[in-house]
Amino acid sequence: MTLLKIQILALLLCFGKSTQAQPSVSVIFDIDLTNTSDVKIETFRFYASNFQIEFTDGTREKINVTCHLIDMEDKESLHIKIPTTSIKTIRSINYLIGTDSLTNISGALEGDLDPIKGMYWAWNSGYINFKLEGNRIVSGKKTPFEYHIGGYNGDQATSRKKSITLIKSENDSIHINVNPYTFIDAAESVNEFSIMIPGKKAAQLADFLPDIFSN
Amino acid sequence: MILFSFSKSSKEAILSDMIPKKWPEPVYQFENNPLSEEGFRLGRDLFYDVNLSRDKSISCANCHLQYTGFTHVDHKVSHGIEGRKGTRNSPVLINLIWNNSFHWDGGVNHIEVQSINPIKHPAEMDNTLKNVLSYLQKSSNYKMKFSRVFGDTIISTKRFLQAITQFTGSLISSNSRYDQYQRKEIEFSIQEKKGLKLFKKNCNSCHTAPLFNSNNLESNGLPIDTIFNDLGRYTITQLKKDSMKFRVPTLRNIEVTFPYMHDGRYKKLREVIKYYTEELNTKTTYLSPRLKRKISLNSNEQKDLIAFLLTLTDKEFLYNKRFSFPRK
Repeated sequence: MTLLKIQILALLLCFGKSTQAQPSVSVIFDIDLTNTSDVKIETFRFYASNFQIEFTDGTREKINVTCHLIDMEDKESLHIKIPTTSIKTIRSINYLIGTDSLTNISGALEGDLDPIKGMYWAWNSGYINFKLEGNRIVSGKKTPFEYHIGGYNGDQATSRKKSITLIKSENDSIHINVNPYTFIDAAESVNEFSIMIPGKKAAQLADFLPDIFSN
Repeated sequence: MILFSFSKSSKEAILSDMIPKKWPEPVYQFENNPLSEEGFRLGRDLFYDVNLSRDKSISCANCHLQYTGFTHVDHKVSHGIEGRKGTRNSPVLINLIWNNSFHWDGGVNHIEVQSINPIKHPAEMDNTLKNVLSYLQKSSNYKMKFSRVFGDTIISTKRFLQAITQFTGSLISSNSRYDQYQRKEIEFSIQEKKGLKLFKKNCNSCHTAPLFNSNNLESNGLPIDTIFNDLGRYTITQLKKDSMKFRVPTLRNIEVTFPYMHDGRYKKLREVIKYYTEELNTKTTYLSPRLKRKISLNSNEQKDLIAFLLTLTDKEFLYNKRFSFPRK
């Protein structure tokens, strides 16, 4: 009977909570896709997770672990909402580019983490944190590039932390500029045009990921 | 809410009935995938459904046959659609919920995501999750079955994978003659007793009772097969020290699961024992430390050991109708 009482109480609490409108912060990814004659991007998708908002008064929201799949072909995916508990002026936002390791060992997941989304490796379990495909002209020749950056374990880990401090104070929305060309150039500078497996190279390339995000 | 608490306690009852007494805690306990009779049956339907493969020709059971411990007897490597061949011996599906990784290279880290591999692999079912889900979503029969398990007719990847897991995770073999001997229900012959003693001394450190496997990835010193060039664990970690390391498979039902080793190179148990006693090079780089000491068994001892290994056959498991193709 005690168990039943607790369950009813929990149910009431749930209802109580859902009637309040939860304040949230909009995070908008503005992807630069001005394809030049040199570079053509065909696929661009990545995960962003573990958002944490920091306010100008120094306080921080709890980390929101949800993983969001951002896909250049899906406009709605570029706009995500991070729930907050208070409406205060935001100083900065911290997040993880990619998925955290716990997510990668948690079995079958749904929503943005559904393996059907093409961002999951079955043979070496884990998420592709960042996928960028296309082609570019190198020494007059059309050269394809294919970057599938993933891996979560130890040295193979490819998720990277990013912190963005806002130039202009905002209360409810944050724009993040995303420039995939920065990554393409960086990868080319180390002569990498194709990465399809976790490993040292993927982890090295992952170090270039934070640079593509700015405000 | 009352219904919910009832279903929860019956779920726990199902799981605790499945786990043999004195066995270690399973790694996977269906935490987010409440085990139910309907879920098990749905998983079984999916396991035996040829529509999961691209050309609708093979089901999971093609490479994992119950009578042979859910492996493909007499086939060195797995066979897929259109006669395509893989590079590894299809593993047995026995006591999987005690495993913390799956596949010979341990590349799969969770039982729920394991089945994505054979479904997508070009040399196996060569299908896509999208195709599989769209097939299931069009079937009124599956819609009804999914709603019985999950409460509504939504058929998602997660539900599909979890349903299969309810079946594969329930494949528990714990009633071999060895188990009956342990429970003091039967007596072993003198030869079987000798074999058990030899097993404990020479084999149990890797193939550890009661599961007769370990979750370690080890090199047993087998030279690489130059056709497959399979480096095992190395393909996952790309670390030299992981070259030729494979999961240590269970020996339960070993009598019926031939051929043996990751590439099925040995047909007979006596060939396996000959390998460990005569052919194994103890100087092999990255060899399992447990194999550095030479195993020596004379021909009588080898026979005794085999007599013991045959006690690991669990006929109840191999012929249990509950695990068989669901005939209407």
